Amino acid sequence: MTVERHPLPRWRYPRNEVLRNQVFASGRPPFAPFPTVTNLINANLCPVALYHDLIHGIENALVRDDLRTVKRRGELFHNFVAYLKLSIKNGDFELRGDIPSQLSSIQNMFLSFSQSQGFQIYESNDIWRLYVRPWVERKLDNGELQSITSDSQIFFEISVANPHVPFPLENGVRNYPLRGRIDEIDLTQRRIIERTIRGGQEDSSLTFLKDYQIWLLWKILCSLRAEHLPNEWGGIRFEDFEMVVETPHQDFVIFDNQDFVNDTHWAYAWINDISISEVPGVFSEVFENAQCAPENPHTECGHPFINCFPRRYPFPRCRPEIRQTFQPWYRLLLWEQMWKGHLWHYQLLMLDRKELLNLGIIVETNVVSVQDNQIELEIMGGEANTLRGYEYCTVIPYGTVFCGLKLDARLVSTRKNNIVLQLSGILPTISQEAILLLSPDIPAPVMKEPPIFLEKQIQSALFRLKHIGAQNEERAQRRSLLQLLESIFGTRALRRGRR
Amino acid sequence: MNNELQRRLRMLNQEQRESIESILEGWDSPRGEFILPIVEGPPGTGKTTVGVLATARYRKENRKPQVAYLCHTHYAADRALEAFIELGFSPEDVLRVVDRGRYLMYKDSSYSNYYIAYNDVSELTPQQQRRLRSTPILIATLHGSTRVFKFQTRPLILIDEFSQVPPTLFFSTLSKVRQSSYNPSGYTLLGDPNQLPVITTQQFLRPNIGIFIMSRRDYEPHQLNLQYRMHPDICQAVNALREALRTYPLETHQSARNKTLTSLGYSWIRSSCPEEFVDILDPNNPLVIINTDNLKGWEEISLGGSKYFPNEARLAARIAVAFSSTYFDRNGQPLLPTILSPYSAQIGLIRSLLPQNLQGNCITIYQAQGREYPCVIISFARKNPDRRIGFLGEGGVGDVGMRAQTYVACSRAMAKLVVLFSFSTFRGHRDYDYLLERSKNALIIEAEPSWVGEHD
Repeated sequence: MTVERHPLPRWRYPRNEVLRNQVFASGRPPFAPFPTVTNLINANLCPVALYHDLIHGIENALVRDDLRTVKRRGELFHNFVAYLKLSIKNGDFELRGDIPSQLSSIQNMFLSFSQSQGFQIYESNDIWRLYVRPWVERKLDNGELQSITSDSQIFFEISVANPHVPFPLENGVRNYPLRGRIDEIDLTQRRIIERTIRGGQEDSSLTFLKDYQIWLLWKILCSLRAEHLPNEWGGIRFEDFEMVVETPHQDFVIFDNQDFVNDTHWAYAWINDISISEVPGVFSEVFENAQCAPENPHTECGHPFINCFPRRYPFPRCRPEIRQTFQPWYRLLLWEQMWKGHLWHYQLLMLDRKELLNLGIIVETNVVSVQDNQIELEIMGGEANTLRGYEYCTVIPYGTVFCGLKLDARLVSTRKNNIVLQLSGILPTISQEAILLLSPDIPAPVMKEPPIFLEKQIQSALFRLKHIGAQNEERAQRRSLLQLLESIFGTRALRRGRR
Repeated sequence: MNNELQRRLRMLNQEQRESIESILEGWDSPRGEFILPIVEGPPGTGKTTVGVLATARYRKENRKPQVAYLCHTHYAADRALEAFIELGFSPEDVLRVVDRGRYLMYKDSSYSNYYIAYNDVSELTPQQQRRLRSTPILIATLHGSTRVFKFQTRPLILIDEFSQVPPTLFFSTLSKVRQSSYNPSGYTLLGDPNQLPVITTQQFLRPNIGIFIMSRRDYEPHQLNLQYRMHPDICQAVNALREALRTYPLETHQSARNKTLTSLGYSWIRSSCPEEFVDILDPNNPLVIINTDNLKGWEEISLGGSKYFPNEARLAARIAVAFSSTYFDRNGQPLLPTILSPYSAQIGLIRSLLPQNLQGNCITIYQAQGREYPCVIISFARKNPDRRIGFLGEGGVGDVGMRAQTYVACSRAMAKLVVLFSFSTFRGHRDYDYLLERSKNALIIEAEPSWVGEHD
C-alpha cells in the first residue's frame, strides 16, 4: 500500500460499561470496529475499496466476475477438500490402485458430493475440470493425500479472533482486534493453509494479497495464549508453522515480512478514520488516495467501472438531493452494525466466562451425542426450555471462542435439560466417530451471534439506487421509480390519491 | 371468490373505500402529481383488509396483473397470505416466496402449496419459473423482495406494516427494481405509525418511511380510525396506551360493542373452572390485569439477554389451560387462548409448561403482529428490584420505541385480554400507569403464590 497514513496512537476499545451493556446503545459508537481479515485486505488494496466495504457494504473488492458464482464455486472447492481429507483420515474413503484409478474414484466422490450441495451436473463437471482435478492430481503426485492417516491432526474452517493482536511498531507493539477463519490447520505437517480458486496454470506469481491474508491469520493464531487455544494445542508454537497458499495449480510458501506490518498499521488507521473519526474531510482523503483512475483502472480490483467510476445519468434531476439524504445513512448503518455485531465480538473475547453467562451472551453445554448432522447438548446451569424460542444459534463443539470450530445451527428440540441442534456447514459430512474425537472434555459454548448482513445489504442496495437513471427526459417520465424519487426528493407533487 | 369479494367490498366504510380507489388509481395522475397512497390504520381498522381487497380488485380489473405484496417480517407476510386464502385465493393466484432455509418451517403445513422457495434462480425448474411468472400475487419480505422482482417486471408494490420500515430499507428495496426494463405500476404503504417501530440504535434512522415522506412533503394520508376488532373495554386499554403514545383514540364500530367470548360462540363451563380463576375467566370481564408481585422469585436471563420469570410463566400456563378446559365452541372444541410475551425466553418456558395442543399458540408479540385472537394472555416477564423494564420503557423524546410492543400485544385481543405484570416493576413507567389508571372497566387483581403451587 502506498497511501501515507500514520499509525494510530491507540486503538479505541469499548470501555467496561459499554462491554457490560451499561451504556444505552445509540449514536456514534464509543469504540472502533472489530475488523475482519477481509477489511484489512481491502484497506491494503485501496482506501476506496475499504470505504466501499465499510460504508457501502461491498466487501468483495477482489472478485471481478459474478460474485454469487465465484462464492458458490469457491465454497464447494473448500468443502470438498475438507470432506476428502477427513474421509481419508476417518477411513471412510480409501485410496486404492494407481494414481489414475485414485483420481477416478475421487472424481466420482466429488460429483456425488457436489450434487448433494445442489450443483447441476454441468457445473460440477466445470468445477472439477477447472479447480478440483488439478489440485487432486498435484496432491496425489506429491503423495500428500496418501500420507493422511487416522493420526493426522487436520482441522478445517477454524475461526480465530483476538482483541489484542500485537504488531511491532518502532520499539514496541501496537495491539489491534482482528478476526478471521483459517481454511486448514495441519498440526501434523505444522502448517496453515489458505485456499483459493483464483490463479491459473501459467501464473508464476501468487494470487493478489493472498500472502497478506494468510499472514494476518497466522498473526492471530500466534497471538493467542495457551488458555485461548483448544486444550490439546496449548504447547504448540505456531510461530514455527509454515504459511501456504494453495491455488488449484500451485502451492506458495509465504514468509514473515516487515511490509505486512507497515501495511497493517496503515490499514487500521483507515478503518478507524472511515468508521468513527469526527475529523471532517476523511472521506475526501479516501478518494484523494484512490489507487486507480478511469484511464488507468486497477487490474485486480472488481470496483472500478461498477462502483468507482459508474455512468452518470442526467435523470432523475433530484440526484444531488438523493445523494445528500443517503450520504449520512451509510455510516449510520455501519454504526448500527458496530453496536449490534462488533460489540458482541468484543464482549465475547474481553469479558470473563461468568460475565458472559450473566449477560446471556453464551450458555455452556456438554456434548452428549452426535448423530448425522444433529448434535445433542446438555445445558449447564441454565433452563433449556427458555431456548425454545430461538431458531438459529452458533455452537463451538471444539475449541474456544478465540480459536475453534464455529458452526451455525438450528434449534430442533429440547429434551429435559438438553437441546438438539441441527448443524450446517461441512461438519455434518463427517462421521460421528470423528466429531467425538474432536470433542474435548470442556464446555461447548452456544451463542447467538447478532446478524449484521442485512445492514450491509441495505448499504449496498442504497448505493446501487444512487446510480440509477435515464439518459433523456421522455424515458425518465415513463419510469415510475424515477418519478417516485422525483416526487420524494425533487419537485414533482406527491398526493395520496382520490378522496 | 368474486361473490365473496363483492360482499367484502360492500362492507367497507367510506375511508376504506377511498383508500382502495387511490391504490387502484395508478401512479401518474392526469394533473401531473405522483400518486402514492399511504394508509394509516390502527389495530382492527382493516388496513390489511384494504390491502388484500385492493389487490383482489386489481387482479380482477387487469389483464396480466402483477402484485408484489411486501412485509417487513415473515410473520406479517404469512398473515397476509392467510388473508388472501380466507378470501378464496388459490395457489394459482397467490404465492409466498421464501428462501430454502425458511421453507423448512412450512413444508409440512396444510398451505405448503402456497409456498415456493429458492436461493438462486438456477435452483428452479423451468416449470417453477413459469409458475412464478404467471402467478399474479407474490408475497415476500422486503429483504427477500429480490426473489419477487426477478419475476415481476411491472408490479403494483404494496408494503404492509410500514411502521417497521425505515427509509433505508424502503429505498434499498426499490433498488431491486432499478433495471430500466422494470417499471412498477404503483406503490402503496399500509401501516400504523404507532405499532412496532423501526429497530435501530441510530436516532436518525428511526422515523419510518411514512413519517419520512410526510415530513418532507405536504401530504395527508388516508386515516382509518373505526375499529372492528376489540370489545370496548379492551379498546379502552388500547386507547390508554395510544394516549401514552400521544395519538388519537380509536372509535369502536357497533359490531364490536358486545364482543365477548360468549357472543363469539364459546360456552363457559363455570363449574369446571378452578375457583381462584373464576373472575379471571368470566366472559363478563373482558379485560383482566393481574399483578404478579406476590409470586416468588425474580426475572432471570437466557441466551441473547432474553428475560424470563418462571413463576409468571407458570401462572400464564395455568390460566391458558383453564381457558382451554372450560371454554368450548359450538362444535365442542376447546378454546385455544393465545399467549404472548415480548421475550423469547419467556415464550420458550411457557410452551414447555403447556400441553401439546396449546404450544403453537404461545408466541412472541412480533409474531402476533397483524393478527387477532378471541382470547389473549400477555406475560411481560420483567420483575426486578431496580424497576428496569428495558425496551418496554420509553426511549428518547417523541420516540415510540420498542414499548409499542405493549400496545400491539393488547390490541390483538377481540373478546378477552388477561395481562400479567409486576406492578412494582412497571409502575412509574408511563404506559403502564396509563394502562392501570385509564382502563376503568378492567378487573385488577393480585396473583397469589398458591396459584402456582407455592404455599407459605
